[in-house]
Amino acid sequence: MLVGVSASAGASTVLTKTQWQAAIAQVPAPGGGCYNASYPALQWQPVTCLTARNWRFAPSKVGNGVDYSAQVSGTISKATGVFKDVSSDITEKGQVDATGSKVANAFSLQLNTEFFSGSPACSGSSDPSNCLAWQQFVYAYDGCSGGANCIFMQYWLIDYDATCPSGWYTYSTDCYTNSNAASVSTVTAQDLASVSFYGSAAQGGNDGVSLSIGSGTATLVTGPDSMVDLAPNWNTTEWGVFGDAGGGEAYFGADNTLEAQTHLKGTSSAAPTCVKEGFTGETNNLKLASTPALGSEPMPTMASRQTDGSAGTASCRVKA
Amino acid sequence: LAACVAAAAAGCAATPTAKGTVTAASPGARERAVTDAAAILRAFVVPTGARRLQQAPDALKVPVTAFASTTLVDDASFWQVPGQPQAVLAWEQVHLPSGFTPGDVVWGPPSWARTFSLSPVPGVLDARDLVVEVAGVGNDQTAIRVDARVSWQPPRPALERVPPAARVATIIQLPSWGPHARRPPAPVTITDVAVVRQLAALVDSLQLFTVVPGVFCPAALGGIRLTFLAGTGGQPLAVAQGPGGCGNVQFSIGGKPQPALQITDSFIPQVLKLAGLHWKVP
Repeated sequence: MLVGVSASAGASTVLTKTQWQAAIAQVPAPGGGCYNASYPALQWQPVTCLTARNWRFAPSKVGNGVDYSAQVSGTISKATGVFKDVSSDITEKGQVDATGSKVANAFSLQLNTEFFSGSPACSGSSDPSNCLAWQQFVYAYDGCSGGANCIFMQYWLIDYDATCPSGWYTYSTDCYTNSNAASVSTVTAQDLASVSFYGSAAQGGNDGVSLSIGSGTATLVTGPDSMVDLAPNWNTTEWGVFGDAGGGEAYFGADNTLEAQTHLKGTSSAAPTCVKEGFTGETNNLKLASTPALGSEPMPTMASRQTDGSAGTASCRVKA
Repeated sequence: LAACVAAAAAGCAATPTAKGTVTAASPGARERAVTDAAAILRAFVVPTGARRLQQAPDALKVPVTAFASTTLVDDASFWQVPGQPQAVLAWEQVHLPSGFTPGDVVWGPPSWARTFSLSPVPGVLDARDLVVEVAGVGNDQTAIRVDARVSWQPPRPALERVPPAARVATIIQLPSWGPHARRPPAPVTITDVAVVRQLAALVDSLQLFTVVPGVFCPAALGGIRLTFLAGTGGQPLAVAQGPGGCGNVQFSIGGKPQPALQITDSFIPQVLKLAGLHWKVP
């Protein structure tokens, strides 16, 4: 049996319990099963496995809080969303602004930050300690004047609960406003496989949202970071395809599958943490699915598979 | 509308905008709102020496307060009067006809504003406001922007109600998601017809969800599903589930989706109270 000892300065000493706790965490399991270990032994001992209670969440949608998001230590300066393993026969229909009949390719692409406190934009709220800022980077179907599809940033002050700042709009107890927007061509469900969509934040400078659809062109919209002071706060990102505004839903065809991948650039080059958290109120009709391991990635990445078919146990993957 | 104005900055290639209308045609309510807004605008007492402006002065082109709504009538008038802005606003508050209740205040500079509200007309007009905004324009002159804002309520068609055949209801707390997710309580079945009818009346009292185009709302966590049946084990007659994003309640009758409903702060607490449940719904 291996006993916890350390070899520092050429002399072996017995590990403290704290040191042992760290050391046992590095010892691989002998195989599949259930194991215990007891100080000072650095060895796993097999024990009888129990059956967990059959309590599984099986959300039937992605969105409205049900999602995986990528969280970093430090801050994010740029998040790029792409889709991998998109079904070749993928189709989508959705309501425009969550009303009326369903229209082909009516959906939104959203890169969403976390809800964060401490934004100076909350200073005029009834209780700044309750007010949460939020920034969305959005592609919206039919979202601009003249029925144009467009990209823009939407800023929120959640639970502002007072007269909104000038230029902001009251929505229940929240306030929201938009950045400038730029028109883009329609993104079809088939285009999802070649979409590259990013949001960026620069303290004291401009934030940006950009869409490229694999055609060799890209569109970029920028706006001041000072709207909600995202740059020093941004540490979590949700990325995906959702309904077209108003809490709407994107309906994909039978057995359609896609994998949302978020590539992150920021103060850390470590792998992000995958957190069970979503921020947008829009949804799609897919289920979070078992996600295969990532291969080599150019930067910290999180992946989450979504499917209308057999989902397995929902999971996400990260890679530095 | 909201998004369009908010994004109408220089250099904008396109603007996120409202291109939809309301979820249901309701000319009666809308016409009442138009008439009411005109009357509210007339209730503004023109200060002595004021002259009417044909368009919004630069200082008040964009109202300091704005609401995201597609069921809102907003009539405006513009004036200029000698005096200081805050004095003008105080004078107006004193001289407004009775019935208006002073509400929110915006403190300047550059502009000051106060909302004065009339009582709503239940089921028809849910907000009736007069917003007076003032700003100094130099030479001891004050510009005034007056907005009469009336929000109307689209009526729910009689067919979009919980069928009267409902005798049983089930209540499910929707599963939560996230690091602090808790196992939802077991579903509950209500067989007391009187309670079922009260629950149905509660659902039927919800107003139609009026979509604000171009709004990508934050998630609304938690929620419940209320299913109405003719008897235990039968097919659902109606299902109401919410809140969804933007505070909507998905509603279906006989499996057929109906226009979404607007949740209220009291909806879930009232459902739980009627059912005698002590659930903690996020």
